[in-house]
Amino acid sequence: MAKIKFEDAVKGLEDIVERLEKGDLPLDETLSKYEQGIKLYKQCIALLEDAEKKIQILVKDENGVFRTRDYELEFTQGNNSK
Amino acid sequence: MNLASPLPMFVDTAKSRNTVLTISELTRRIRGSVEQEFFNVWVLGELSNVKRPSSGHVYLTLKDAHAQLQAVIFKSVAHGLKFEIQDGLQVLAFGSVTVYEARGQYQLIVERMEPKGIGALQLAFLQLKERLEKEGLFDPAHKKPLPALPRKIAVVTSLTGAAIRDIVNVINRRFARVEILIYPVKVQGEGAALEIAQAISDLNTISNIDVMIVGRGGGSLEDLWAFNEEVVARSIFASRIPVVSAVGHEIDVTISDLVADKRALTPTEAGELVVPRYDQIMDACEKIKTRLVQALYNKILLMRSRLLRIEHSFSLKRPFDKVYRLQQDVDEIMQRLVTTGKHMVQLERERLAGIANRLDSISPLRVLSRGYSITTLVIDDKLIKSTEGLAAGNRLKTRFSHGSVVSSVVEVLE
Repeated sequence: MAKIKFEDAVKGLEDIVERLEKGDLPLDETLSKYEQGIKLYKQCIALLEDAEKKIQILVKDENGVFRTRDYELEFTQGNNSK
Repeated sequence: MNLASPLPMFVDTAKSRNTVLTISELTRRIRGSVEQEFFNVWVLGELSNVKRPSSGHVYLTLKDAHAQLQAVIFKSVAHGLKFEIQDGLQVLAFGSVTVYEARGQYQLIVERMEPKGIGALQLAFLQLKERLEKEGLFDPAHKKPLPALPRKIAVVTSLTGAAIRDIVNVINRRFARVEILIYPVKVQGEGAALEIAQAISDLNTISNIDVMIVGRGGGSLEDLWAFNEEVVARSIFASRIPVVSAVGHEIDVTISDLVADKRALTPTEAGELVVPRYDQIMDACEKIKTRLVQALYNKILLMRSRLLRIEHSFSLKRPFDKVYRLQQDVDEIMQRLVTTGKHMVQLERERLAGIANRLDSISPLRVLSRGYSITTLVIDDKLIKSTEGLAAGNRLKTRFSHGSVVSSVVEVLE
């Protein structure tokens, strides 16, 4: 699937829906716009589901090269003190 | 020249009467006494004539209503001043008075300086705020929108502070599937501002970061100071990644808050601003999809009802009706055309007859029918109204009502 930004997909979908709601397009154009809309909707859902939780710390070594290491979640349990 | 042994302030007067001093000697003595007398003093005055040559030292005049004092702030001290030294500021200055021998001028060597009536930090904040505002760094036009569905969020803060814990808590609470990249920095103390600025520009070289949070938990004005430094403001402004600032606990606004694309009051709020609510976004997507389907359905209903209308319409049942009606229209038009044509011809006829009558009434032929005739010269067909110019031998043509004759003039009778 082509890489599309979520905002762009939603915007495209909204534009199509608004155009179709006017109801003045010929039937074949309506159908092709509908298909486009459904495609965008599927892309939105895919983008929503296609992510994972990962918390990492960025470390820059003396040569200026970035590495990452995992962040320990040791004090995230209901600890709200400063 | 031995400066280590400052002279007593009052030199023996007898001595000074009997000895002629060199200028250098006198100046040296004055310097000694001044340095001893005015060592480590606080003065209050207004700044004027502030000059900054390339050496990095700052030269200025401190004055009040009745007097003025030359002063110098050496580079190392000037560098450490938080606020900007500007003409007109009321300040408290601490230092020692000395004499600049080359010019025979006494001056205050400033070691510390505070603005009067307002903390140095507060003044520095106000001064920088005014300067950056003029430059347009806080302009809403420069503020970038936050992404609706960020997948990678960078956080510039201290690893040990409350801010990162608060943000991670938000992510856990929302079961968010996002990547968090923490760039650990010092958030207070010496060098913190530079680290924060560096972090922001470093993160801009890493791809796929959708948004970043820059901040720390609450603290005193001194604790938060790094977020009021120009270098941090500039790096936030230069960031192509949208920046959410989250400094402290709602009390103070920092320069960073003003430059950032979005200000969060606390790190927790920053987390809530950037971490997507999947349930809400999913709902919105479903709603719009429902509208899409409904729009298509409505279109189909509309088409169907139009088909039905056509199916039951009069014209579909009797397809030639329309043709016949059209033909009828054509006939009607033709009929009107013909009628109009006839009428026109009649009118023309009558008009012609009228003209003929009028012609007839003035026609010379009418006169001829009453017995008159018309005589012309044969040679040029000129009408003859008298004998003038006629001579014997001229040939004449005479027209009667019916026919004409040619005759010769035998004699002209005058």
